[in-house]
Amino acid sequence: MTTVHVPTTLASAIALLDDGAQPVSGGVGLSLRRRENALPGSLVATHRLPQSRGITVIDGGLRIGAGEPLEAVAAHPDVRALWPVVAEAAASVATGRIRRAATLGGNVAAFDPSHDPPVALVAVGATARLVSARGERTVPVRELTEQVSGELIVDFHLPAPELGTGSAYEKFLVRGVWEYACVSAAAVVTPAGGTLVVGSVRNAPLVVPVTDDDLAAESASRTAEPWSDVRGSVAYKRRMIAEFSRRALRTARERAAA
Amino acid sequence: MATPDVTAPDLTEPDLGLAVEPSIIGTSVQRVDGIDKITGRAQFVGDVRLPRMLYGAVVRSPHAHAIVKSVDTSRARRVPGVHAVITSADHAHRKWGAFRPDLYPLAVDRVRYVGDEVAAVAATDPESALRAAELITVEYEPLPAVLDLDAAMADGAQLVHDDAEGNVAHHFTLERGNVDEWLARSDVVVEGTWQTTRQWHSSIETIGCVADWSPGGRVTLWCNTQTPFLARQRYATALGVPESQVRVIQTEVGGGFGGKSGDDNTSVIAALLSKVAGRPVQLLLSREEEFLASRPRIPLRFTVKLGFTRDGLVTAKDIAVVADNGAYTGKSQAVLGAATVRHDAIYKYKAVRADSRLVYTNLVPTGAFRGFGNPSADWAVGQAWDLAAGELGIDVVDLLLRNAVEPGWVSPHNHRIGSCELKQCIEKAAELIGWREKRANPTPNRGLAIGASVHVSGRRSFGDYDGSSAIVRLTEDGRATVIAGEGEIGTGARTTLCQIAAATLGLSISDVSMSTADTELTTHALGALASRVTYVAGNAVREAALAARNQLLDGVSTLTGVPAAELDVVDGVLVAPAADPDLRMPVGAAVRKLIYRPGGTPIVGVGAFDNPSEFPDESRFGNESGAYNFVAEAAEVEVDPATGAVRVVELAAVADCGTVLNPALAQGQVEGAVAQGIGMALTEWFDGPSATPDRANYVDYKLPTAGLMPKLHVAFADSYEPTGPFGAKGVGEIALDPIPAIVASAVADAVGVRIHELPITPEKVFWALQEDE
Repeated sequence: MTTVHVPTTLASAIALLDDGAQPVSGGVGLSLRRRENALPGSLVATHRLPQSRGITVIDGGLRIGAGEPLEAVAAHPDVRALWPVVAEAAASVATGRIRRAATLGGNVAAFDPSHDPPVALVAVGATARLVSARGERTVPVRELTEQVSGELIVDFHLPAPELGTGSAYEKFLVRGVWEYACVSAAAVVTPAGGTLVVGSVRNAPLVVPVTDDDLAAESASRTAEPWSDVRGSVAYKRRMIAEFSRRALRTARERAAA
Repeated sequence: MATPDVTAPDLTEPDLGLAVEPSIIGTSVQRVDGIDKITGRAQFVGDVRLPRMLYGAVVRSPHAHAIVKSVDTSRARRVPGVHAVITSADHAHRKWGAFRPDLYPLAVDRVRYVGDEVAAVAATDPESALRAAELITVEYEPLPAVLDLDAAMADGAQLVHDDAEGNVAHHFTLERGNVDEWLARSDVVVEGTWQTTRQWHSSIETIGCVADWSPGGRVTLWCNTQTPFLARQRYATALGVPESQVRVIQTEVGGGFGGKSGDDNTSVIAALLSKVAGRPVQLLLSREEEFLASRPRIPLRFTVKLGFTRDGLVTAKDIAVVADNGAYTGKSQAVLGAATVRHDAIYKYKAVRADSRLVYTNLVPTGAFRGFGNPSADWAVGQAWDLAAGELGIDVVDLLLRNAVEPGWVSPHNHRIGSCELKQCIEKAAELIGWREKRANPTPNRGLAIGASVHVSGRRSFGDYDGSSAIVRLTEDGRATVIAGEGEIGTGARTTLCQIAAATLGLSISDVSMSTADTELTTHALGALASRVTYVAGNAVREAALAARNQLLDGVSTLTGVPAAELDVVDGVLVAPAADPDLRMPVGAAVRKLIYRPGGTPIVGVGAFDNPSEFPDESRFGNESGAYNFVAEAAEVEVDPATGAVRVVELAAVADCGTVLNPALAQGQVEGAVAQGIGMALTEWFDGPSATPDRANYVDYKLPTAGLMPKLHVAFADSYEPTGPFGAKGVGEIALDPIPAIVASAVADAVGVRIHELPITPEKVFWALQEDE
C-alpha cells in the first residue's frame, strides 16, 4: 500500500522526505515502476508547492520551477527566446500526453542517460537548487549525478546567454516514432567557443568543449560510450553522434548569427 | 508532417438489376455497433463478469529449450484466494493444432521456447494469481536450442520435436510447366534471396477468455476469437472432450488480424483452470504475454529466380522457401502454402516451380497474420519484379501492365480469375501518385516503386467446404435479425452484413441487427479469416434475406389476394404499385398478421452459400477461391543519406474488391493495411539475431504512428464480381501485401541500395550506402 501526501508548503514536504518518503512529480517514471510492483510506501507530491512552480526571467537568465511540466517548458516564450536548446529538448520528449504530465525536475531526477532535458540543461550551464532538512545547496546540473535521500530539487537556474550565443537540440528517432533517441546532442555556441553535450550514451551527459565544430563532433563520436540496442549498433551510433552533433552545432551557429 | 490527403473512392453504381435501396449499398452507413463501442457498452473479454469468477495467471518457460524436471506448486497453493493450480498433470495429454497437432495445453516434460506455458493459477483477484504464479518453482534442465533457421537446418541439429526429422514440420514441392526450359529460353533472368521477420498483430485488445466449466461437464467459453466454430473444434480436442461439451460465445473483439484465430493455449488453460476450480475463470493476456503467447507473422526466406523475354514478358519463376515455424505449428503450414502459390495469380507465368519447407525452431510459434504469407512473398517476388524492370530497361508500371492477369486467366495452380481489374488498379495507382510526372522530374534522394498483389475471398482450407449459412428472422415489430456465426472482429462485417440484409429486404439499416456468434445458437461458420466474410457470409445472408422476403410476400399475397410478384417492400412498407395502389402494409403488421392466425407461421429465412472453389490437393493445385481481389500500390519515399532513415512521402492504394458495399469501412481497411505494412517495413522489430523479444514490450517494438502515414490516396477500381453479394469481394487483407516490397524498391530507386532482409532499418540503408561509396 502506498500513501501519497500532498503538502502545500515546502517545510512540510521536506519533513515528509526526511521521514523517508519519496518525491513524486509528474508520476511518469513511477507509473512504469508500478508495473513491476516496486512502489515506495510513502510518496510526497510536489505539484502544490509554490516554490517548484513558475518560469521567470531573472537577470537575463531563467528560473524554471522543477515542478513545471515539460510541455510548459517547451512552449514558454522566454525559454524559446533565451535557450531554444532547452525548449527543443523538452519538446522532443515522448508525446504531448506524457509531456503534460512529466516535469523538468522529475525528468532530471530520474538520472536516465537517454533523457533529453538534462543534456540541454548541462549544455547551457544550468544549476539546480536542492532543499532538504539539512538546508539548501546549489549544484551544476552537470555534477548532479544522484539524488540524495531526503532532498528535493526545487528549481533550476539558467544563466543569461551572452551576446552572440546560439543553441540547438537534435535527436535521432530511428523509426520516426517516439522512443528513446538513438543519439541526442545539445549545442551551445558563443563567439568564444561553445559546448557540445551528447546524451543517450553510457557516459551521458558527455560534455565536449567546442573550438572547431567538426573536431568537436568527431571528438564526441570518439569519446562517447554508446551501447548496441534495437536502435542501432555501437558503430552506427558513433557515426550518428558525429552527424547529429554537427547538425546541432550548425543550427546553433545559424541562430547565433541571426 | 504530411497531412493525409485521402481522395474519395470512385464508386460507380453498377446496374444490379435488383430493387435495391441505393441509400444502403455503396453508402457509408454508420457502424451498427458504433454507439455501443464508443460509449463503452460493448462487452469485450475483459468486461465479462460472472458470479464467483476467478482470474488466471500463467507460468511460462524462461528457457528456449529445456527438460522440465519438476514443478513444485505447494507454495502457490497456500496463497490466500488461490482456487486452482494446474500443471501437465491436469490435462488429457492430447496434442492439438490446426494442421499438425504438436502443442499440449501445458508443456509435458519439455519446454520449447521462451514463453511456453508450464503451469497456471486461478485466484480471486489478478494480483493473488500473479503472486501465486511467481511462487511456483520449476526445475529445468536446459537443452541446446536452435535459435534461427540455419541452426535448425544444420546437420545434426538439436530436434525441437523428436518426430520431426531435420526439424522439418512440413515440406512440399511443385512444378507446373517446364521451368528449366523456360528459364533457358529467357533473355533476362534475375535472382536473389529475401528474408522477412516476425511481426506481431498488436491488436488493441489482447487475447483472452472467460471459461465456465459446469458441474455437468459442459464448458462455455466467452472468447475474443475470430473463429468461434473452428476454435470450438480445436479446444475440444485440446481438452480431450467431445465437441458437444464445448460452447464458444464470441465477445466483442478488439482487433484480430489473424492473431485471434485459435492456435494458442489461452482459452484451453482458462477452461482447465475453471474445471479444477469449479468456478468461472477469466484469463486475459498482458501486453508482455501477448508477444510470447500469440502467433506472429512467420519469417520466410525466399530465393527467387525470374525469367523474362527481351520485350518484358514473364516466362518462369523458380522459388525455394524456408519458413521459421517457431516451436509449434498452428496455421503456419497453410501460410507457407499461400506464400508459395497465391502470388502466381498476379502475373501470367508460363511455368512455376517451388520447394517449400516449414522448419521448427526454439522461437515464438508463428501463425496467421493479415496477408497470410502474401506480404512475405511479395517482399521477395515483388522486389524481383522491380529488379527485372531495371535489367530489362522497361518502366516497372509498363512491365506490370504487360504481364498482369485478366478476367478468364487461369493460373498454373488452376486459380480461375473471374472479375479482375488489376490493370485498372495499376494504371490508377500510377496516375494518383503522379508517376509519369515524378519520373520526368526526379527529386534527389526520392524514389518511386509500384507493386501489385492478389488475395482470395475465402479459401477452401478446412476440408472441402468454405461456405456459410445464415438465418434472417423478420420480427413482429417490423425489423430483421440476422443470425449468423461469422461474428465481428472490429472490421465492420456486422454492419456490411446488415446492409446486405436491409437492401434485400427493403428495410432501413436501423431496423436490422445481427446476433452474437454462438456455437449453440447461430448457424455454423468458419469465421473471420481469408478475407471471406463479406463474400461468403454476405452471400449466405443475402440468400437468407431473399428467403425471408419471399415468405413475407407469399404470406401477404394470401392475406390480400395480391399476387406475390406484384408486391414489394419499400422503406419497410409492403406496397403493390400496379396491382393495388392503395396497399400500404408495414412489414411488422404483416408479420404479426401472419403469426396471429390459426396455424400462423413466423417469417424465418435460411440461406446458404458455398464458395465456388476447389479444395487444393497436396501440391496446392486447385482453384482455392471463387473470387480474387487485387490491389496495386505505388509509393514515393525519401531517404536521408546521412542516416539511412526512410520516410514514405506519398502512397497510392487502389483496390479491386468488386462493389464497395460501405466506402468508409473499405477505406478504413485499406488505410489500416497500409499502416500495418509500413510498420512491417520500417518500425516493427526486436533486437538481436533471433528477432524475438528479450524484453517483450512496446519500448523496443514500435508500431507506426499517425505521424508516419504518408500523403495517402485511396481509391477503388470500378469492378463487379458476378458471384459476390451485390458484386462484392473481400478487402480485409489485400492492401497490406505489397507495402514492404514497394518501400524497399523505392529506397533502391532513391539511393541505389536494395535491402533484402526486413525490417528496413536506417542502419542497414546507411551501411549499404557506405559500401556503395
